[in-house]
Amino acid sequence: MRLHDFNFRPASMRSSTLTLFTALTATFGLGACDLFDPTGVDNPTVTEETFLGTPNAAASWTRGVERQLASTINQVVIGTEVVSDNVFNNRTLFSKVFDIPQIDNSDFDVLNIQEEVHALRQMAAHGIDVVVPGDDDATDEIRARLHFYRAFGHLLSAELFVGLPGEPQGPVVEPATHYSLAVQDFEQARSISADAALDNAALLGIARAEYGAGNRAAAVAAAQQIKSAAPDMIRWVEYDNVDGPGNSMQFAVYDSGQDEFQPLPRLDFLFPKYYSEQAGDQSSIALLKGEEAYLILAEAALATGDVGGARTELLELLDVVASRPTAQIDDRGQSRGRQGGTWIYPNTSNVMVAASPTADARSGLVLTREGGLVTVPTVSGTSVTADMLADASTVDDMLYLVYLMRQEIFVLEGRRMTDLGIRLPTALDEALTNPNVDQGSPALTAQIPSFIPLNYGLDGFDYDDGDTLAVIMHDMNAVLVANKTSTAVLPFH
Amino acid sequence: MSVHLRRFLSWCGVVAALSWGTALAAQQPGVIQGRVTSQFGGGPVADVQVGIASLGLTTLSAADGSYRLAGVPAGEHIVETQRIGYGRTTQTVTVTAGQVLTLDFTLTDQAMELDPLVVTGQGSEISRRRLSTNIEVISNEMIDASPATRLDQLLQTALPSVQVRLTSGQPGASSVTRGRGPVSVSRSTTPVIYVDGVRVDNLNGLAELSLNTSGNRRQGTQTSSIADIPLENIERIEYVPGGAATTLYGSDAANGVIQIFTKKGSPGTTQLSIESELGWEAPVEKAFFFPQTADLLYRNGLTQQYRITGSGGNDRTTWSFGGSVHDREGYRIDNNASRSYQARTGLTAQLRDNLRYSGSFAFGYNHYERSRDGNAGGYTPLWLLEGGRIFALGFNNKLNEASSQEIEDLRDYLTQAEALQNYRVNVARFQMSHQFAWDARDDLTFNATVGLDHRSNNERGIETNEFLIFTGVQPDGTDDRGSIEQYDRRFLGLTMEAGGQHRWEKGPLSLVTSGGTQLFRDDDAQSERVALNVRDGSETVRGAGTTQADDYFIQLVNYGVYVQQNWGFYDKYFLDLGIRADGNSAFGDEVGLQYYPKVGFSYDLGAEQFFQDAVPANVISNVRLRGNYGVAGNFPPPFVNDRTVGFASYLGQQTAGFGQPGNPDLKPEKTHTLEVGGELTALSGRVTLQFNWYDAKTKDALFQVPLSPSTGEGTQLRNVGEITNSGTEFRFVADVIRNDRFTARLTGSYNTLNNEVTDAGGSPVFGISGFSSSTVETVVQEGWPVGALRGTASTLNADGTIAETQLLQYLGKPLPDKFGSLGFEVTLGDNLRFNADADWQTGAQLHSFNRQFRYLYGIDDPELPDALLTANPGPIRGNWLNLTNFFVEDTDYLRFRNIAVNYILPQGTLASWSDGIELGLAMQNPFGWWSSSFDPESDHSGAASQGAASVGGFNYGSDPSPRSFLATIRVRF
Repeated sequence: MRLHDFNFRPASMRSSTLTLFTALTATFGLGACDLFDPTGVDNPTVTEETFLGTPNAAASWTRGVERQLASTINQVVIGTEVVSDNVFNNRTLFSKVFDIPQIDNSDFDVLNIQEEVHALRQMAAHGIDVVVPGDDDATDEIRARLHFYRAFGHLLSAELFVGLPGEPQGPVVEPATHYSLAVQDFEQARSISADAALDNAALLGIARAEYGAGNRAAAVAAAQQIKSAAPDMIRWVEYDNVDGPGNSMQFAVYDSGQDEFQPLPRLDFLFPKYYSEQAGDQSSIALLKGEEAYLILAEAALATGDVGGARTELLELLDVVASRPTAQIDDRGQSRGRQGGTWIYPNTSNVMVAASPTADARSGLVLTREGGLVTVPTVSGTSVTADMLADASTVDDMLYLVYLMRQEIFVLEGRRMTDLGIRLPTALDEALTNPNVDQGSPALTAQIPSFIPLNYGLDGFDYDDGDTLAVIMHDMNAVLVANKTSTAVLPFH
Repeated sequence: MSVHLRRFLSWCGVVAALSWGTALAAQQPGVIQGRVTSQFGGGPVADVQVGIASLGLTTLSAADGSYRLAGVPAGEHIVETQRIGYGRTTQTVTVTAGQVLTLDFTLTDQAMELDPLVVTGQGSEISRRRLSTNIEVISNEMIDASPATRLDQLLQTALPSVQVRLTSGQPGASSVTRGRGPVSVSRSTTPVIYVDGVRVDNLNGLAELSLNTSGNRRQGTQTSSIADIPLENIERIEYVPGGAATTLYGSDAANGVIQIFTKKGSPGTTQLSIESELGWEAPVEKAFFFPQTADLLYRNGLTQQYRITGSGGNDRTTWSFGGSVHDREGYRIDNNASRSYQARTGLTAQLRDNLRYSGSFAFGYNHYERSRDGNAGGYTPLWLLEGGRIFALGFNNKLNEASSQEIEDLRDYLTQAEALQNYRVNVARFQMSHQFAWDARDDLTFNATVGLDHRSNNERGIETNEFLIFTGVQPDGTDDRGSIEQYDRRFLGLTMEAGGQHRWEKGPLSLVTSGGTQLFRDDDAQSERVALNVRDGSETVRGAGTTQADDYFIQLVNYGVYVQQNWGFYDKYFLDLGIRADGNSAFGDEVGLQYYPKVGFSYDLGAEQFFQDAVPANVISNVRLRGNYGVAGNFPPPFVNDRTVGFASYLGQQTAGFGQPGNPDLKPEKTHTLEVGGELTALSGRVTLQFNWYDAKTKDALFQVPLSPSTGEGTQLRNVGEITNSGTEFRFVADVIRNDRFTARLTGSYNTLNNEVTDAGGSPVFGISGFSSSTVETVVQEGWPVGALRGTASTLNADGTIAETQLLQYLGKPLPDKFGSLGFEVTLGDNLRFNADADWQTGAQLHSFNRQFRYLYGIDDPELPDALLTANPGPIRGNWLNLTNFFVEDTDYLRFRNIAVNYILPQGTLASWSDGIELGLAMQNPFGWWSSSFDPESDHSGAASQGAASVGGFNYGSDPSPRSFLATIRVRF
């Protein structure tokens, strides 16, 4: 039937036929709606509402917090190690100003570290406040882990920053408050956890927080408990060789093959610490380890003038360190700056290193990597020997060794910047978006103690390619001891 | 109204309109006939509209140029021709009863036409004279004459008020299009593109999952969806710049609209043509700091292209096809080759007396080879050479001081390293369009369009152990660090549109009413496969030591209804009113339909008797004034409105965490544009001038607002900003000499642009591209232009030491204050034509990381103060990042894009079997002048994420565009 025939029919017929046609068209049209509806969209990701209604949401969320912890530690370790005297960024990847150290509240890397720390705390808090209450499957173990990670968020806030908000868009609170909040959460984790490993980690977390806060008695009590219960404990942060995050510091000191981060020459023997035997292997980073208890106890002893007691703790610590594993690593990819690095570093074992222009040169601190496999510690290592401890007769001598051991044992774990008394500022973005933070707040200025050498002095050394002596410009452990009464460093002094 | 009800009504509206559109309805004294030919070359011109306006009689010329107007009553008549690309012509004839009158037309091409029939932004075809907005039209002849092989390259000089920057010389890489300034800081500035009424993929930057061989800003090697739109068989292109002109495109058009119309053939004898083009590409030596760079890393790469086209038809059906193959050897040694195969067919069919179908089908396949550039790190040869980093590999980085042996050693190294790279991209694309036009009555037409664009993109990168060892990343003997990356992106775009136009005229009043509904949807599915621990020689992920996978999906639907009325009084005064209402799946739950109104006027002053009395026609013959106000939008990215939980795998287990914060109030950003302008023709048509002034404010601009870090969440997309763009556009065409044997024509444009983020809505400064706050980045900051360069600035003491250093300083802006184009065309006789075109800009700046790295690595830069170099002798200059202001330069330029000469052999010269033979020689990018010490177009200017804004700003290791030399022969049968 040709439609234009309608024109030649009576009006009534045209009307009824038109009605029929319209009805048919509509019928077919509506059918087509179902078959070809192009208007639907389907977001393949999960909304929060949907998530909270699924089984074991809290368990999944808690694993997410652990993944966030790995990311946070990555950012903290990369950023703070460059600030410190441990490593120098010998290329142009990663921060190019932290080595100076130049630390501005507008710096992208400052913001990144802060975001990562807050993300850890807030994800744990969201788990405690929202996810767990909505999940009947949530166990005490899950709650304990979440408290542990929120505690760690506060601990990092306290150790790394001049001040940070303790809650979303809250006012800036000082490190002492964050330490206190960390202890509360660690205690909470201990009170509900039946997991001995988590209990020990939380206990060591308390020791570390009390140490940072300068609460000697509480720190010693917790450290003594750890020494008794699990002196060689380690709480690891694991990295994922398939889906990430990967260990960024491992990339910088090993996988890159481009001499990214170079160690202070007297720390060469401890590197790379993180490495890959097979393609994609990712080394774990120690979040908390038993060595810390000995170091706290030794420093506490020295605060009372007990050199012998400190020596005892450190001798025991040497045993713990000696028990830690080492690895034989193919590190031929490292040329110590000879692939276009800003500075050339010593790279053969015949080079002796002096910790300062007035210090005696020591051998054995630099390894020859081109020849074959090198043996390096993967958890803890130190150049301090029992003889050195025996020779240390004064508080300051021993304190020097405590801080040298802290530096060596914790190298590449993100601890040294705090030991040096350097603290990051609250990021400018926080002040711009948080009504409770004023742009004039002192927290927006980094804390760099006056005894910290600037203009790359922390990383500086004298060495020319081929020399057999490398002389470091500043022995920062000696500087710390000399400034031990500064409120920025050595919490027990 | 619920979302589903809105969807239902919208969808069923489309279906009903389609059903209606497919429904059918019913529907001699003298004859004028003749042939229409082109003055240049004398060839036939098809599809010319020939008619007598007073009688409403029109017809189209056939493929051989012939036409026939029947039913012409006796008497005197004005016969008029009209075709895009050619000047309108009229002849007055007297027809007697029963006479068959022969009347031939010879058309001359016209660079700026004032009154073509246009479609874009109007719903249906309408005379431009009636419009209050400006529409640019690129004719078939301009397209044929251009040696461009990709759409954005073609637009580079064809649109006088738009800047198109091909910021990388790598084949198929993305570009930056700047019309009336960046109206968004969160969305791409690329216009929306339609092919035969079907919206196509216009992603002109990185995909979420895609190959990255140029570091954290991927511009240099990011594959563009614009680069592989088949250019075959294009009839014309229309461009509207946004504002009121694009109001009828609603939430999708604040950047303007490009509409491509393809050939469908003409009744008449079959016309065929074959074309062969040979040539080569060569580096532009001036683009490099070291003259040796061009010699070491580049070469003369051969190019070849072969094309065949055909068309024909009869009274009921017409057809047209075009196909080509294009092969480039690549101008970088051992890399950057490309090959494409393209074909398009168009056809029309008169289904009933008043129902016409037209369809087009296109397929394109492109293969590109990629190489490392930008700040990819490791082996990145332009950075190694131009940034001075090559010393790290044991070579003398002062290439201009290197011995010939050092240069040869370096050449050997680069040659081998280039050969060891293995990155490639394959793109297959299919487009189709079906259009129905139903003339329900003489004054009422309906049309319907349905079509799709399917683009399938596969990218693959292989890094072998051999490459890693050779470039020093891994030690000798490594056998387990090889890797393979594979990325797939499948885009499916669907467009459905139905509308109608009613024309009414009574006395001095004429009214054109258009209305319709449009729906489009995008489906974008991406996947990634990565293999680690791959044995050299393997090119598959299967069997690798470790494999990883990822995917990404987005979908989007937009549905809208529009209506507009164009009022005409005495054919001189026109009023334009219109509105569109849009719904979009990317809007927040709290956001309903969005409305886009427009209003405008057009005044044909030249038609006024008093004007004609006062001004002789040979002084000024045509004056038109117009003004308008309109709103156009940019919808937010899909799914950003939803608050989600993010999932990731960690240590083999599923984990949950914060996803995106969502935003129930998310809506499109809307650009409100006020525009006035006009045009005139003077000196007996020898000079045509066009002028526009515009002021565009983007309100509710989408800002990626950083949330307080203390929330533990990242950023949230919010409608908080305001961006202002204002400027003037002036354009001229002047026939300096015009006689029967010789014409010389000058064309040019002068555009100004003032751009500013006028309100950041309390958002902190955030970067849209670049590197970091302690180095240099392009940022969004209230009071600054979009994408202003920000970094550290220092002043120097007389001895070259640093006197003062200040962070976060304004260093410049990549957007020009003024820009435009220039063209020159000479026609000698009927057969020889020479033309050249260029573009220029002033007032923009770029930062050169190449230079800053050279400073770092101890290479003395003649642009830097001597005292600074003396005080910092190197070889490593540690204070380099405090001196960023010294590496930002003005990038004024004047750059010739094409120089071409074409010769059409007189018919019968060589062979009687040919209807015409055309010879051409062309140079692309032949030469240019620029104020900076580097090529200002070599711009590492990628976006931060898929669909995000990109303004450029950084000269950093990107391959500059090559210079091309092409010879063409085209034979018509």
